[in-house]
Amino acid sequence: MLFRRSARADEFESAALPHMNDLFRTALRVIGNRTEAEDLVQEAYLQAWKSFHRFEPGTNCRAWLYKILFHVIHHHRRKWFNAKLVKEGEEILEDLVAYEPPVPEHLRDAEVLSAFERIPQQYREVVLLADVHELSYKEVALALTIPVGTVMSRLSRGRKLLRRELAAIAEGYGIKSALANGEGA
Amino acid sequence: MNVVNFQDGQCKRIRAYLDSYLNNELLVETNHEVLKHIERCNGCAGLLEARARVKEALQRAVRDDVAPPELRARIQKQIRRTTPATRTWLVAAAAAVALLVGGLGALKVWRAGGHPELPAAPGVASVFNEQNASVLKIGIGDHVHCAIDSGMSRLRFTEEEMAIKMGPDYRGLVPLVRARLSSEFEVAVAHRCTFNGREFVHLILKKDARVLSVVITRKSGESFSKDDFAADIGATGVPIHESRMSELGVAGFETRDYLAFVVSDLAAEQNRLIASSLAPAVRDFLAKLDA
Repeated sequence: MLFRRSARADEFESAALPHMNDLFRTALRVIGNRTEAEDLVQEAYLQAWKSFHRFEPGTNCRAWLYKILFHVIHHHRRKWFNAKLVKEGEEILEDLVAYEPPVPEHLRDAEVLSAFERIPQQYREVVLLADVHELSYKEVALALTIPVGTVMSRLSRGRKLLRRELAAIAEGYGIKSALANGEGA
Repeated sequence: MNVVNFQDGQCKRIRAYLDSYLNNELLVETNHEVLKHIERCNGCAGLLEARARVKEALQRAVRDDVAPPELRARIQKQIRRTTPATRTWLVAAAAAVALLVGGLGALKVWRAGGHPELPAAPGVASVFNEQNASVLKIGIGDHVHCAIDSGMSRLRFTEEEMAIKMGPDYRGLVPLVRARLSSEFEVAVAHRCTFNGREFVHLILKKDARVLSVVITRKSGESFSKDDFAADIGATGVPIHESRMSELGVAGFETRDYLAFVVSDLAAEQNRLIASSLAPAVRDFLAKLDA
């Protein structure tokens, strides 16, 4: 029995642990706190281990782990903030569609992360999964338990918001944006 | 410098595709169309380049972080000292053993009103927690009392009888459930019943000699534990909590005001699948009642 469990644990570790860094980076960028991110990743792995009997070998382990991680993150946020994730005023963001703010040629990591942190969580989640970790739209939908259409619209808005935040940096460099010129306001 | 060429509206259309192009999420034809356009449009090519730059910068910045080395050790330590849930066949085998060594007696006591704890077969306990086990017993209780012990599963109501017995609020559940299960399942009974002073909306379905109940009741302070991460969150987004008691499987989910259960003598996986396929529609149906 002990031998069988150990072999099962080995199987789990070899399938799941290679994704630990990506899970940690995701949790860190969603939560914004290293200690909490570590705890959430550890909790996600524990839940994944408990549910490992439901994991089908040969299917996408990474997407499955992200699904569990976001389940843990959302539960954590509800627990501590006693509120469901607030839907942002998405219609207001449509106003941003009309112009393309210029993005600086050279971006420092700290600037990019600072801009990214200013984006609402629901957009950060999809941008992280699709653009950073390069999950397909379908895998993102599965991980966040939202429809593919919602993934696409959040991605589009999240990217626009990020470009807007980066454009603010560009303005700081003295590059004038189209908005400042009165276009697309 | 962004040179905008909206002359034929093509730039506007192509720009909507640029992000998907970068993510390789476009159909081959659209991909080709974007490629052809950016070859001759400096404005759109510049935008594509800027977007690629943002994506690369974000990837680089995020990937710069690594998990501390001790996190891996912490996870491994936790895994090694935690018993995982077992595969379905192990659960079934454990349940069978529990049945052989006295589970049947426990079920009889429970049917008589004794309500012992669910059998704690080895390897099963980690699948659910105490709070959820007690909520799931509500669903099993009505199935055993009404469908099995009272012999309701031997009856066959007409459509008209079902509509009358369900009442105007709940009669819509019958076609809703029927539409989501294979035609092998026949809705034999749909009615409202009472067990242990609690009201239930109860559908009894039959497939050959198998009996399946869809049981719904208003909450009376009970709720599933949110800590049951072993719950099957499936593709539907509705957490399904499950357990087995002797030969019966129960899978339950909740809405703000209701608890809903699928109880049957089917294999655990099949029981769970049925609950998963019903959950979103039943949840929406009950939400409309609350509205």
